[in-house]
Amino acid sequence: MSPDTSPVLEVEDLHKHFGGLKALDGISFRIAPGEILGLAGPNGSGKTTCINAITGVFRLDSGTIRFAGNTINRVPTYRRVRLGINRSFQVPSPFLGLSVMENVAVASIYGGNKKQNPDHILEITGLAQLKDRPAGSLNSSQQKLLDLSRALATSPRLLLVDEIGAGLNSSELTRMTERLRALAAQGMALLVVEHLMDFLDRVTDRIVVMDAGRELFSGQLYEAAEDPRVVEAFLGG
Amino acid sequence: MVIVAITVLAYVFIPYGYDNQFLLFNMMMYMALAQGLNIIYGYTGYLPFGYVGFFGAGAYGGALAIIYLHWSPFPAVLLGGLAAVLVGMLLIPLFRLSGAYFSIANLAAAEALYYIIANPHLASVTQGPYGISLPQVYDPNAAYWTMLAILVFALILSGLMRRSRFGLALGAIRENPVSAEMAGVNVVRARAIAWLLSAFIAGVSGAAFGWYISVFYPETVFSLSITVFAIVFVLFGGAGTLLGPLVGTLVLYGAYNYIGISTPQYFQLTYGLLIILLVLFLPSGLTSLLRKRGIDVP
Repeated sequence: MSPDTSPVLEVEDLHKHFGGLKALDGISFRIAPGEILGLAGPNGSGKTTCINAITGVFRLDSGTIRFAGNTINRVPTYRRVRLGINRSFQVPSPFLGLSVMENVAVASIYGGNKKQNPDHILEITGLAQLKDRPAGSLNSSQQKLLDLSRALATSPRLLLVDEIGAGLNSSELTRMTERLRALAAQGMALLVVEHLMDFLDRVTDRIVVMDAGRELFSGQLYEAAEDPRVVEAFLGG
Repeated sequence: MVIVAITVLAYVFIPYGYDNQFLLFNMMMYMALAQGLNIIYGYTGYLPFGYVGFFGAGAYGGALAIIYLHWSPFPAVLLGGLAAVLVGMLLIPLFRLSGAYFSIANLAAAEALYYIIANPHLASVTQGPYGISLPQVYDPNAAYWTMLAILVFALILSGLMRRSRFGLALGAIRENPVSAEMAGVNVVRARAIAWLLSAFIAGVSGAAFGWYISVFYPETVFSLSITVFAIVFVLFGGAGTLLGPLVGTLVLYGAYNYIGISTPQYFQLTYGLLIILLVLFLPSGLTSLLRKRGIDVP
């Protein structure tokens, strides 16, 4: 395998249970630089748990997470951020009492090796006009963009995007598609968790469908729609 | 800087025209304590009900250094600060708790420390319930200037934290610890640093207080009213600002003494009303009045 195509992220056989619930039950996948992998599946299938595992919110029961070739299972979250992993949240969670600019500045100061210019990030995400406003005064789609800006300010090599399409209107979705595609074109690897199939179709290169913490399907989205196991998982057996 | 200068000038010159030095000393002490509490509460959002534990640890740390090690008061005051930092380090695991649970656990820890120090079985070390007497170093004037130095230190520290990158990280932690971690902030370490600095300020204040009065008992320096005063002063003035805790202390501690002397029979009533009015109409403190008018409060 040439260095260019070696995966930036490899997760292998992840297991995590919360009480009696098996949230992750042997899921594995890998993402190459510049690739956009979609992660789909019914509610509760373990998609967000996957993101939490990769960012280090909890400790896994078993399994391996390798980032750029190094096992990072025991690396604390803030160090994973500095290594180049970041995420956006399903429910955007910016620092509401700080200004838009400060939200991005704190991430650019603490989060990355390459110092990103917060102004530049806000230009990319289209929030430059609002930079002095408190984050709490933004509407929810602006807060999603701010969440994304905070993540980008740490110069991630792997970006985990958790349902960023939900609640956006169609023109906002198109702009978001373009933004995510542009990031991948620069070599960033993306994992996109999404319920909106159309958005997933436009953004991703391939998808993994999860159910009950396991991989149900891996391949192209149009193939997934014809896979009886996927249909059953989504529509109920 | 202007705030620090005004504060220093006030405490340097007021004693020439006003001879209740003890009141001025206490005012400085509460301003320092309020600023110390502000560092942990105003900047990171953790409200330590047991803040007085650091004050008491400092008072005893300093006094025991004077009694047993025969240290002079200045290094003893610093040692008092370090004693409080030590207690603070022991309490770092409390940050696993959030909100009210943190506050209550911290209160319990301060009470536990009080009972350990006041325990008659430890009288050979801590003098237990019989209290501390430091006639050998009694010097209220020197203690007064020391307290002023502590207040200036607390103000400068608080001001620096507010304007610095570190202050920005603390602000992020206060707003959302999970997102702060995702911004690359080492949340555990940043919070611990703020906590220990806050403890240090309370510790040196306690040690200076012990030196000033020179005779004190465990209940004097572990009195819960010290925590309550500091918290109320911070909230009254406005948490998370440099000016707020100063104004809060000046107004409320001033009123406390004024009413307490002029019309003591109405004291509790007036004081209570003042606080109720504040909570109802100015929940973000007096300084929020200025902020609402678009004035940036330092």
